[in-house]
Amino acid sequence: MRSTSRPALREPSYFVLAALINGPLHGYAVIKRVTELSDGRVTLAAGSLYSVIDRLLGEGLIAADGEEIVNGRARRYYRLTDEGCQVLAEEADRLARAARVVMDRLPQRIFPLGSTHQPSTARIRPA
Amino acid sequence: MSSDVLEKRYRMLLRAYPAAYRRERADELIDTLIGDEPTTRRWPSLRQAASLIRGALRVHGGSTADRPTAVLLWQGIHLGAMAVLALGALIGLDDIVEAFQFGGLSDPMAVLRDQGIFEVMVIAALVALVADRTRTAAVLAVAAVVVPSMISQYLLLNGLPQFWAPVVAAPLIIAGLWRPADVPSTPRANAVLATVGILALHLIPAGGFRRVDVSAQIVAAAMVIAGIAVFLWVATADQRLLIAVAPTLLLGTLYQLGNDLSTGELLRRPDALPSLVVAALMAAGAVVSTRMRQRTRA
Repeated sequence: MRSTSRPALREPSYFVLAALINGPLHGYAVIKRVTELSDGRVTLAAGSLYSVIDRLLGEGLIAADGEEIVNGRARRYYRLTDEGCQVLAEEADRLARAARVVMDRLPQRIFPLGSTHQPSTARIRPA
Repeated sequence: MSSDVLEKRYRMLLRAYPAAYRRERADELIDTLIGDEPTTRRWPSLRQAASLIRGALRVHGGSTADRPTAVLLWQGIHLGAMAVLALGALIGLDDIVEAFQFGGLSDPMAVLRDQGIFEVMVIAALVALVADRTRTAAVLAVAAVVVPSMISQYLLLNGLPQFWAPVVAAPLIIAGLWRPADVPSTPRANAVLATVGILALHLIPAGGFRRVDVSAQIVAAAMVIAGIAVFLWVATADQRLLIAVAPTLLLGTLYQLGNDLSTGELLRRPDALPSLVVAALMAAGAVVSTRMRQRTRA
């Protein structure tokens, strides 16, 4: 069991883990899935993606899951580990609770019931 | 065809990564960079290129090591010793040339006695360190403090910046003798490149600040801002540089401390106390943040 004092996952790490929920993906597919899941807010460049992948591999939150040769190049797949799944679930729960704290206290005149609040579409380009 | 050209250019960029990492990941990175979609692009985008270079710098800085903090600290100390010796050698060389330009030719032996022996010993210590002969480098650095002072007290009495180079470097080199076995030594080419980068930071022409001409001051400000921005872009990815730059700023600080406190130069000069304080804080921040990341990762 992980310590509850674990700092929050960084946004790119969170979305890379989230991208792997439905099964193993290779690097390029992870980038596309992360962009999709974050509504275009997180667009990872290859160098940044592999910095995140290296950290997640080191922490044991993801694992390599086989290779295939495509266009003469090795394409490696990554999958979520049990620990990665647990950390992701804890983080999602933490974010949901944090969101609830705000949403439950916001006066209705800001977001009246039935309104569809649009999140910011500002793009985040992590280093 | 264009994807072949693009792949070739991406492979050039991937040479920024350490060879071991490249062997493991180059194909995979190329696959991710090229993607599935047909492209007519012939050159890597600026964003992808910058991301690859920063990714490579992070790997050099120990991000993929089993103990990133240990790599950051020990290799940072090693690079700091190299940079401080290189800076001392450079300043010493400049002073010797200046001495010959302003009358030294009438008594070249005096110049060589006052500064030449010291210069040779500092360069010898630097060469030993680059060659990964740490024990020899430690002996030479200590000798560079003691021996020239026994022959001529010129550097000691004037407390010139280069005099402090082996004084600062020696404890760093000696500390490096206790580098844990699981922390690899800094690859030579990478160490030389990092040292050249730190020297370049010191060579930013900031003299224009002292001139009355406003345009010279603006040019100097632009050079300093651009130089620091480039350094920080590199050093926030390869954080060993944040540790390595701090000892080099000690030279100017110690020189001003021993020189004349009443001039206020200690607090005004860009290579003295304020920069040293900022560099030391950034180095401490780098170690703490890496340690925290190591404990939790991701």
